[in-house]
Amino acid sequence: MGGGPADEELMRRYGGGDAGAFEALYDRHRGPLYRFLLRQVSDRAAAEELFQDVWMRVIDARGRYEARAQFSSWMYAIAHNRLMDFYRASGKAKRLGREESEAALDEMPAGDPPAEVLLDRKRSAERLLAALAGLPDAQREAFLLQQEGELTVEEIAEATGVSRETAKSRLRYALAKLRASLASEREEL
Amino acid sequence: MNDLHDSELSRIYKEGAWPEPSRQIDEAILSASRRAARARHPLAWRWAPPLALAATVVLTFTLVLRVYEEGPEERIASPALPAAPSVLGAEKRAAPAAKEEKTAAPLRAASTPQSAPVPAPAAPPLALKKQAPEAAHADQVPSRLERVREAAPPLQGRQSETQIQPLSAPIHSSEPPSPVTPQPAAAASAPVVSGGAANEAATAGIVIRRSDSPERTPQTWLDDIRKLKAQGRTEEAGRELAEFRKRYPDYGLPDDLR
Repeated sequence: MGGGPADEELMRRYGGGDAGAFEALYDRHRGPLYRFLLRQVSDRAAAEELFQDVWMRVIDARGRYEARAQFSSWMYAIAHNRLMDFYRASGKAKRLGREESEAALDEMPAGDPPAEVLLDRKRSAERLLAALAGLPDAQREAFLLQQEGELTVEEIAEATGVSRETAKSRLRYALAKLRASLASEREEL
Repeated sequence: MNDLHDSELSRIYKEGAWPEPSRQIDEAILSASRRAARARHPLAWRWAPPLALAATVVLTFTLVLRVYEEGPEERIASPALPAAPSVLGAEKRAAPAAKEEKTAAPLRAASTPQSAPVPAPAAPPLALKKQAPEAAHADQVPSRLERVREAAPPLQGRQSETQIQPLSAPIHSSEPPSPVTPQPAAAASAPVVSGGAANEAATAGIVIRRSDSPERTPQTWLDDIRKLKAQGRTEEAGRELAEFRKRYPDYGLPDDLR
């Protein structure tokens, strides 16, 4: 996360009334959190709404925040919960229910990624993002938490409320599928 | 590369587009964060009611204690006056025991007058609370006494142990605090023996009142007599002195007024 005070220290300062500490914190995490949400919901408006909601919850929790875990784990746990709410509201709950099944894990990415995601991107990245968009939600979330949130397997498990083994399994399957997607692209070339 | 981290994948992923939230969203969130930071601190808000309650309790307790302490003082003011002359003698006798006596059990001092064949005036229990500040100065008493002895050998020689003994009781029983009692300016200019002894007397159970008050302290009274003498009104001074003796038969008069 670079130099400067730790996220936890910034959050503590913000809890003490230091608005500048929040700005530093926001500046660090705005991009990764936004991309995490956008690539999960594939809809800019929905992503922005969720993004704003997560940050408002961070703001509201400033007085209750205790640095027991990494700030980023805590923040992505909030984002995860909001995503779950979003999925339920948008009828994606069934997908969440089956993502741990062997069938779901063996599924290859399906469906076209959103057009906005494909615009002006390098080909490999486009392919990767397309493959990412087709991953089961839980696997995609694990991958994004690793890439955007820079969370470890343990932190991914904590943020998503699953065991370490489950988080590890999700991440492993996600990486395997993305690698397979890139490999097939190279073969086509 | 291991099975849980693929640097090649990470690189390709990061080469993709980096969408970011719009500036409007940024502004909205940062404005909300600033508003929240300016708003009442959540912790302060949480602790405000108990802190306010604690402050109220402390203030009330202090006020009640003060009223409780001041009330009895008014009541003991007059009864304590006869005890005043005993202070010098009382100090002489009580000083060696003052430390343990005053620091260990102020209440016991009131109920068990060690060297007081003459019953002490009944002092309200609260008056004994006033001994607490005195106890803090208990170790100063011997040195003060030494000073008095050196400065006033005649007085020391004149007062026998039997004279002193009965007079020591009031110091245990009704000695109110000296630190809070304002000393008249005249007392400071009085001779060491008489002034010191009288001051001790004044602090040993007498509530100092203004000189124009009908209840003069012995010290104030003596100062007035001195003034009369200084003005050449010896007859009047004599009358006042006689009146003083009548009023305070046990009071040890300073040398200059004998």
